[in-house]
Amino acid sequence: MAGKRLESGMTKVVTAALLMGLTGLPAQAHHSITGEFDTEKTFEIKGTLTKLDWANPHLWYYLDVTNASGEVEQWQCTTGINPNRLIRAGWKKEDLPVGTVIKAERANPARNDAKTCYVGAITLEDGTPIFSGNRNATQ
Amino acid sequence: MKLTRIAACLLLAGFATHALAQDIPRLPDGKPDLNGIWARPYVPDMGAAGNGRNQIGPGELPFTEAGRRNFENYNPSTGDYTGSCLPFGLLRAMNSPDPIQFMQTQTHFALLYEQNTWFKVINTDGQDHSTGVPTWFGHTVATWDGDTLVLTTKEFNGKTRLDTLGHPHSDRMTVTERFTRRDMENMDYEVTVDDPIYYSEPWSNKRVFTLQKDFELIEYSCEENNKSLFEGRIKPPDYSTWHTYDTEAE
Repeated sequence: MAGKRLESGMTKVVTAALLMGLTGLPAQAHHSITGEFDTEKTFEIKGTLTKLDWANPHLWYYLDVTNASGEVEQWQCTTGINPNRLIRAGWKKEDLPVGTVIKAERANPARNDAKTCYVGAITLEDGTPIFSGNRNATQ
Repeated sequence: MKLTRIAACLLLAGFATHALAQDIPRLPDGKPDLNGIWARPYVPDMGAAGNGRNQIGPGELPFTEAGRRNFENYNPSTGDYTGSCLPFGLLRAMNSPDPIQFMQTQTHFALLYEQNTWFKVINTDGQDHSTGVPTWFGHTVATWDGDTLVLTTKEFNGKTRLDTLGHPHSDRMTVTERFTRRDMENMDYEVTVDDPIYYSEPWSNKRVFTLQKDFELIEYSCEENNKSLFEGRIKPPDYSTWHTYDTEAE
């Protein structure tokens, strides 16, 4: 069922089991993600940011994603990175305003919830990494 | 012969200088000053012989049959205590990637974990101040072995795990942590796990902590945005069937 869901609005489903180190900043969840997300499946989605939760223990991105049928799906995706680490790397919430088109790369689907995922990396539409590495060093 | 004696003296002098570690800060009582905020490697697998992030584990862990069975049956999708923001326990907290601050006086040593804004305070008079009540982080007695601070911790409640991978421990575990400030920037950390229920022999893991300058801890709430728990994708552990080895026949 999850696999069927993934066919809409996503680029690919590929296999991988990557638990950490997927971005310039280490993606280090405060707990194991394997209970909540299926790390055997990865995919990529693109959508428009409608809201960003910038709070511990983890960020949550809310996206409007247009699927293959032209319908808009509402997705929510989290990451292993916490705001404290991003603040130290020079990032702030305002660096990713609502309305920005972003890509969620190396995403893992939630095991029991539609349109919820764990992302390995977030980029802008042109591929520029966001919330990755030291911001001051990449500007 | 004379040259040999001179060489031997120089060698001994070198060792003595090294052993005294004169180039580290000290408290007024002469004990090494471990104060500061320290970066530490994330250790999701204490058994790993090396994950490229500055930690050395034993490789294969010496499981007892009960330990292997517990580890193989661990399934965080049916109950995830850290995902539920329950206390991580001593070693899961020490294995965290987030910074830790040590605050040390001549009477106490405090560990301030940025992750979840937890803390642990230890009397360093070498005496046992146990209340006799098992806890998440255990009860610690602090002693000094030369310039090494040794924290020996027992009386765990047994409701936690050692690392993100889920290696188990029982409430009979004894943890020995050795903190040795190597120089101004680095501190050696060695932890030994002695748990006769789940491991056939004691085993150790070593890593190096690095002093962070111009650095402050930041508040960290585990509960504030734990959507995964709020929306039911993370399940709290079921401790209703929990048992402790001190109270049950083996």
